[in-house]
Amino acid sequence: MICILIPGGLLFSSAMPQPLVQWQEANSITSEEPITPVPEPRPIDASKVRLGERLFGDPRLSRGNSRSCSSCHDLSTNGASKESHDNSFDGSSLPLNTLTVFNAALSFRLGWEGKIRTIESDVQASLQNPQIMGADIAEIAEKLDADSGLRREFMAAYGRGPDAQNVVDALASFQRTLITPGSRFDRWLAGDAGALSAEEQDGYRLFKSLGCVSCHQGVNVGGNLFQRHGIFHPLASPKPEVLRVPSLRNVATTPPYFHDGSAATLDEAVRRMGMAQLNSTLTDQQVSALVAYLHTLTGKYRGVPVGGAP
Amino acid sequence: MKMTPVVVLVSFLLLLLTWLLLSGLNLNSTRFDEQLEALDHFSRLERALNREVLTARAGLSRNYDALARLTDVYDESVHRLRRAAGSDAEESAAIDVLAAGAHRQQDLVEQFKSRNALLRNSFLYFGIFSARLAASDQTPVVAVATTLSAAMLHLTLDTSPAAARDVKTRLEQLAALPDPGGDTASIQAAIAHGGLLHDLLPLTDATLKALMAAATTREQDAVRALIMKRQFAARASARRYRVLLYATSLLLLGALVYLGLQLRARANPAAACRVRARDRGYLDAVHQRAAAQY
Repeated sequence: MICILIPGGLLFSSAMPQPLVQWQEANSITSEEPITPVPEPRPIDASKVRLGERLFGDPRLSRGNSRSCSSCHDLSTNGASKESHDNSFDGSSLPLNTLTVFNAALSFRLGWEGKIRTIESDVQASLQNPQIMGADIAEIAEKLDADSGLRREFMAAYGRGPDAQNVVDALASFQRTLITPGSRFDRWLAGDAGALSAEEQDGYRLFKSLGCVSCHQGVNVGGNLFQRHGIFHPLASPKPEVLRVPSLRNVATTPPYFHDGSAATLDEAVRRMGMAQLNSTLTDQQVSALVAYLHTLTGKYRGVPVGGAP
Repeated sequence: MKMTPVVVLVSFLLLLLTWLLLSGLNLNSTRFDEQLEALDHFSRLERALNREVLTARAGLSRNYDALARLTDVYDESVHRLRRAAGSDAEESAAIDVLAAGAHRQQDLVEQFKSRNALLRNSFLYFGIFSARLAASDQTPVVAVATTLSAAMLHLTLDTSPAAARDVKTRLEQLAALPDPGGDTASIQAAIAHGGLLHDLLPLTDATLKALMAAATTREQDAVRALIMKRQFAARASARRYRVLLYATSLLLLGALVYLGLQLRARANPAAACRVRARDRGYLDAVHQRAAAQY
């Protein structure tokens, strides 16, 4: 399936920064499967992460203290919102559906169009975007500086009060921890043969044999290349024509789907993808197996399955 | 009061010798080493990037994670090179040219990934539907499907316009088959994916060729030449300062010997008397010779 499931939009996201020497470890032919398990989050300074988490839910980060990052990225459910398009300040709809913030750090580029390269750049862009948070980061820092408790936390984490740089860094540090390992599929990849049912395994086989895996591969089951949509037939809104292939991690929890949020269910999204990207009318049985497989990609955030269900 | 000129002189000499020493040590050599190391790192990454692309094209890669990570590290290596170059305007300009080349490479890698993904996908489908058509009970369908498969196989090895034309002709023949009956759906699918392959195979090869041709070897050579030029100039300059340091040291040694002799003369009165008597005797002789002449 050539790409484009999952809801679109954004706030904070990006690729995990890699030390310069790690390219030597990059070896694309060692793994047996095209998909690799989600790793545990890398250890990051706990005080910065705590601070970032607090800021993530702080409305002072927006113009008029009217919304926080978590307004569109609900971490207690799927890391996104249930709307096809979230609203901007003037009440109009945002141009693209909101992407989940979970595992965004594992994608090589951020946002539906993949124009942003690092989490820090994405945080900055989201805070300053007049439609999203509409804020000035220096002003945010001033507001936060007036809060003595928060100022103490910044002093503890950064050795100085809040400023434009450490506000962004704290949010980016927190976002790097929003990783969801422990999905049933990852357990299966790790050798737990009983982690997937027969139908789910069939679904994975179909996922590979139908060609979905051509674009949805790697640790994030996508998120590592760009692709056109509507190769054979129209898929959704024609613009933007080229998208960063979205990750399918936790995809069962993130309806509505596609960059325009036009597919209400996973079943519908799979059928439309089959037609648009593969020129194939999938049978009910195929769709059912594929959807069953996609459900196995739901990981855990802080030990709880993404989506809120314990 | 008499000490002041001595202090000034000693301070001056100390400063002079320290300056000559530091200038002769070629302290910039570490910076040049860092620059060359950063350039080597960039060069290794570019080769690794091209190797990974070829691995993916050959179908040996399981996913694009390694390629994506390499692209990021490759991009970062340009920043590292800039940091190492510092504020040298000429070098910065050369790195700008190199960075433009690196961006071209990255664009081509992204282009390749997208095309290669579609290519693999359509190969899968083309294989499935070709096999179905080859098993058809209609002889004309089997005949055209077989020649189409052969032409497509040829196109995977040779993406020349002639090979592409051959595939196109076979696709048109397949589309023109009268009354394919139960094979209609398979024919349409084979035509759709075959058409995509017909376009994508030459395009993907062209991307690969462009990627290899766009290797920044020349730009790297230019940056390397500039670093070497700076390095040689710094070495030559250091050598000059070391010669100057040596010459200054010799002068100081001469002065020291002279002062030492003076000091020794003052420290030994008898010798001083002898010296004075000798000097006096010499002066007297000169005076007498002068008086005799007049």
